[in-house]
Amino acid sequence: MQSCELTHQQRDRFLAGELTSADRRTVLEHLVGGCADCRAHFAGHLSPGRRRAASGAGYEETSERVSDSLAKLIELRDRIEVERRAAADLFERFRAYPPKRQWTLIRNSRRVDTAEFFRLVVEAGYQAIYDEPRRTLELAEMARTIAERLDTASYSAALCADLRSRAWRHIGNARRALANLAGAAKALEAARGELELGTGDPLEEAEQLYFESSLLRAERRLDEALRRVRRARRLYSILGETHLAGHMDLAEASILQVMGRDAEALERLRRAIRKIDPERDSRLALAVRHNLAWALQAAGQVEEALAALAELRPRYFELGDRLTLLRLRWLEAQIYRQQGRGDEAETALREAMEGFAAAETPYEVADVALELALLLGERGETAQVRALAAETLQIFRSLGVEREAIAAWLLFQQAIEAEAVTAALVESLSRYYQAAKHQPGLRFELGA
Amino acid sequence: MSIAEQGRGSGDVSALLGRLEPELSGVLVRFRIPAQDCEDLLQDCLLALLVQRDQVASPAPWLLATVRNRCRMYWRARRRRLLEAVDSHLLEELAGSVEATDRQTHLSHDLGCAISALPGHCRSILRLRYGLDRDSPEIAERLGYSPNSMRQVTSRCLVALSRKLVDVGFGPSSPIPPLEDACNPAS
Repeated sequence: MQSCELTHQQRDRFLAGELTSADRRTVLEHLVGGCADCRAHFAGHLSPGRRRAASGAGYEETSERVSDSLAKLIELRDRIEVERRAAADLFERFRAYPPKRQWTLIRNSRRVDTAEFFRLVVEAGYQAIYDEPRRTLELAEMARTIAERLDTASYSAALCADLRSRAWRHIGNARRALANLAGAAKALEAARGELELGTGDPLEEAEQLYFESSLLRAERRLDEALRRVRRARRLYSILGETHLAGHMDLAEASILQVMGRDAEALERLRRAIRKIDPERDSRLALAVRHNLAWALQAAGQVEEALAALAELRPRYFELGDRLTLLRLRWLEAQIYRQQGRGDEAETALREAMEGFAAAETPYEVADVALELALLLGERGETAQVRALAAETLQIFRSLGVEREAIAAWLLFQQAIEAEAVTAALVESLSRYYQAAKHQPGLRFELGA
Repeated sequence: MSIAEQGRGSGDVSALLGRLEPELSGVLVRFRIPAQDCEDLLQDCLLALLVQRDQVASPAPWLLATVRNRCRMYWRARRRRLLEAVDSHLLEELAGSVEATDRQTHLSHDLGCAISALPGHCRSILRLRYGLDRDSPEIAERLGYSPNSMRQVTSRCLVALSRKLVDVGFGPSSPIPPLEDACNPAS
């Protein structure tokens, strides 16, 4: 057989789509026509395989190229350091501006077009997700504006793809927190697409898996959610990111609790506490301990729950935001109920319910109201249960809650009138409102 | 000092990378990355490390994992380009005038043989794609695939087809056997 007339360059240009139609035909005919050189070259692309040993032919040349890369590092490092300092100064000023002025800066100034400034904007958005998911979304959109403009000559096309992916991912997570699940899915898909063009950074992949898991949990696709979060945790563990692996333990525990696998959830929470670093994220450290105290009292281990809460109480007040303190009150109500302290439980539940209503979180209102209704029902206080149900319906209407959620509450009211409220009905409604929080328009089905 | 601990607490990325140099070279060689592409590939990973140095708890395992991922992505991208080149060229060659040229007839024949050797679902997809010039959404609807899974299945079938084309090696200069024997390897 004749030796191949094609050069490596021609074959590479074929792969890059840079040949004319006639030249492409020539290469393809070589390929199909049995040219051994072309077949070997292109077969290598279909199944490159790996060498067993990192030695032999090519090692020396590769090693030289690696040394050359490392030699260029110093220049890169100095440039990045200068950018980092400038970005930190600029971000201090940016943070103090009102949102409108922040947008003006983002749109008009090229001083914000650095990887470090981008990172600070994304991070600030992520911190806001507990209390202000709309603000998280806005900051993530600002970050995306920056990412789209970053200079690939300064940062490489692959790194820019990673940063675009991160922006989309945070947009997706914020949309999920705002119960826009379809919008979240689209954004996370865009993030996944950009990741395919990125540097291969495993931390970006792990975060993508975590956010996908959160969305799947909101969609109640719990087995898939569990698989994603476990993959994320494995990645973090391999990378020595113990704190983040602990975060995944907490996320896994939340999924297991929704699945009713409480004993496993408890075990994950204990593991998470050992890994999460309070210095690195005090809110996360509080969340995991709060969830543990909640799981302990739900499992009837009231003394342990009380001990955990006693140690934890000062941290709620250190954080001090409204929703955190309301969750503390709700947890206290649970423990009082377990201890048979009905009056104190009632007071705590009423305070929590008022607080959640003022904070405009209707699904928490529903959950607390159901517990209060059960407590009052156990004490035979039917008139109070009716009044509570009517009050809750009014809150729903004033907060513009979805029609299906109101319909579910009307069913509950009918059951009250018929004196047919059971623990099973309350449990079913509670599960419904927890799911409906993330899926507006979800219909209530008895027994689901 | 374990791999995970290397670089932790150290402000000097250069010293870390000096220690990792043999391992990094080893990864690139094991993944068969051509020497001329190693530098760009590694620069991407190093730049990412420098940009987020403060967020990476353990730079050594991070860098090794990133370079390995990048190597896998390198081959995935090359394979995707090969498949796209084969696919678009086949579509171009087989479209066009009502009266097929000799070249088109030969290519059609070779393609038909290669497709015949593929699994059933691939035969269906590729015959619709090249024989009847159907696009992906039409094929998906006809065969009952979702749009997302259509993309993946088509890609796998194109890989299989490309392997067959590379392996079979019929060419325009080969005489065309009778149709019933065309795809019998024994003939």
